[in-house]
Amino acid sequence: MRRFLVFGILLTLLGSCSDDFEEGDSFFHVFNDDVAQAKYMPESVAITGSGYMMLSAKGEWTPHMVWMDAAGNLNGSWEAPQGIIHPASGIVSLGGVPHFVCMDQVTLQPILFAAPSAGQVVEVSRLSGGQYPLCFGAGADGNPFLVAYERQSRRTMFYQMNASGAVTGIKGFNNLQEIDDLVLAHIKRQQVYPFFAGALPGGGYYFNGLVNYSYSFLLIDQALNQQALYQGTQYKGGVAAALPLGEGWAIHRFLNNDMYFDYPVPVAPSGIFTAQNLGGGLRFQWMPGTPVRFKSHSLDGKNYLLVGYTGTDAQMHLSVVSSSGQELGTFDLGQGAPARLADLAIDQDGGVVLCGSFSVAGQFVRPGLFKLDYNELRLLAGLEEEEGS
Amino acid sequence: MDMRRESCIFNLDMQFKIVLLGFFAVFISDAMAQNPVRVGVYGGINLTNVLSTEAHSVLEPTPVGPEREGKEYIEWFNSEQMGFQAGLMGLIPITDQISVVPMLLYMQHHFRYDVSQRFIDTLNPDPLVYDQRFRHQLRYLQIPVMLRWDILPNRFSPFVQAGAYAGFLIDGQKSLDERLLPESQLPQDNNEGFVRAQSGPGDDALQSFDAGMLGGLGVRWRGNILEVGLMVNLRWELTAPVLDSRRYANADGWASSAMDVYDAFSMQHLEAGLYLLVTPGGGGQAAGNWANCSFGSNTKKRRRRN
Repeated sequence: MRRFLVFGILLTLLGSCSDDFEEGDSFFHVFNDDVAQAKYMPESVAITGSGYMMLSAKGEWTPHMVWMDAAGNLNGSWEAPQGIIHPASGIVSLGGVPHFVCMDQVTLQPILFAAPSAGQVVEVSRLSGGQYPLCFGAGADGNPFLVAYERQSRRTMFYQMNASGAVTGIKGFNNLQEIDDLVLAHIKRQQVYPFFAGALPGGGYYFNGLVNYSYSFLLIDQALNQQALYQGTQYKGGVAAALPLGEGWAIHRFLNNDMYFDYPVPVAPSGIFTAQNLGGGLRFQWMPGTPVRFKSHSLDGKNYLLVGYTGTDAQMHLSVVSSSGQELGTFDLGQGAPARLADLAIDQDGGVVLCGSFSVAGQFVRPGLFKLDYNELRLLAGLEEEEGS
Repeated sequence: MDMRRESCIFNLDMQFKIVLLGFFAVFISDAMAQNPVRVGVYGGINLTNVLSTEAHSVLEPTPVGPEREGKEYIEWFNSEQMGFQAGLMGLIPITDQISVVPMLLYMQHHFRYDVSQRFIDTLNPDPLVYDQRFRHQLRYLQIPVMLRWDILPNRFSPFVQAGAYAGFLIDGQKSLDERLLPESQLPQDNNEGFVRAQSGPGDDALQSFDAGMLGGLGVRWRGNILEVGLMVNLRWELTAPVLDSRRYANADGWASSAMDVYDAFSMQHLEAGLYLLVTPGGGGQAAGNWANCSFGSNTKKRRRRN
């Protein structure tokens, strides 16, 4: 009989085994709203000290932010007061505090906001003379910049700022054509253009904007002088995502409803070209008109390109691509519940978070955040499972 | 994708070896000397009760989130909670009335929970009600071992038994039925109006190992060759069926497609079944007072009077 008791104790011991959720594990949360007609279009995600924050446009253009803890649970939310509209894509950390840009509904001025803690948003400054913010980012020195459109002069404006948000340099790039309807359609989320911007490794910036009668891709130096210009096909084609990496650029461009991708691809540092010069393979499975996001990531000391996109199957996808351009694995998210990718961010623990919109009950469009942990990324890249993981 | 499924205080291989060792120790030392061993088949039904200990959901209501009361689990006595079990059974007598009962069973556990949400329709005064009905089916291969006491040393006897079981997950299946209707159009019968939204495998977040205690009572009729019985057992699962680290992982696509994840929960099962045992080799000496009672023949010889 004693042996039965021992056996029972053994089973109890096994029953006490647990595999607790730890920081770094995958999670998935969708943030719900009780109004059937409410619709959220996420723009950007950022890693904060204690978790994550996700910026969306609610309805047509109302800025909306949710904060999550490290496990993706809701920590707080904020909705902009009346008169503040259009969150531009991009969240930038200045002095450890996340900042983002919205627009004044009446003056069209870009407004810089700081989000020091969950649920708390404070206005930092207004960009005097500026209009229509399109994209907010940080240079190699960590200082922010803003790409905006100036209606009267028909120019795409590049605002260089210092760490406190004050403008230190301005440069305008002529479009020479009135495109108010197009910009307004973008701001009202009727026809969204994937505006993006970033820092060149040796100094300077890259961004896309409305320049030279088209949706163009530009490289500029630190003094904001134009170096290279890749013109789009009017406003129906152009470079929609780009990331400079050691082996070459990752480039996504579109032409009408065709989506193209290539990596690694050389981008000329100076001159004037058309986006079609960048070539790329047709990606039938990428949904036209949806954002594509690139991130560089290191897995086991090797560099990989992460490509996030929305598929024609209405699912989010994350592909891991080797430095030679070989697609190693793809993760799918949103099967059966339409999803649309908005942004990616690399977490401090090596995982990646994907933010986008998900359809609750197949029709209520809500913002959601999915985290794919580091180990799953490794498996996607075809790396062996770690011992003891 | 299930790289962390088997992590624990020691790895599963180790656990498996320990459990097997336990079984062998019990069988070999205590029971093998006793005869006759009876073997046969067992089958029946079981009802599952799910006890949620920690709620989890993909959907997080914002301050303006819809009314949502979490998962409403269906309790024991409902056909939706009913699964079946079948397999092999042995009876190894230790004394006249005490036996060891090992089994090898295919177990199927079913359970259902419902989730309901209300959305304000700004175009219509009638709110929209979104009901989801989730059905889960978990299938295990289990090895229960019980110690049984036959209360009477007769051909017919009630018995009580208790023991433990260990098992392994074969697979999990899930399905989602849903309906989205204005509140005023909800049918009187709460089961109407649902349509199957999706179904498929769903075991990515489940522990592959399963163990617990069980015990119950029954009645049996025993002959020299055959033994038939009916028993009712309560199973109490000690292991957590869900891996916390894999709950939201979505490797099987369920979290993002159905926007549903498992709660932390434990399961209890009430099972009833019939068994039929035979004595290999056609009988031999049976234990107890009924040892010489043969089944179907009378061996007494009448004396002839001269």
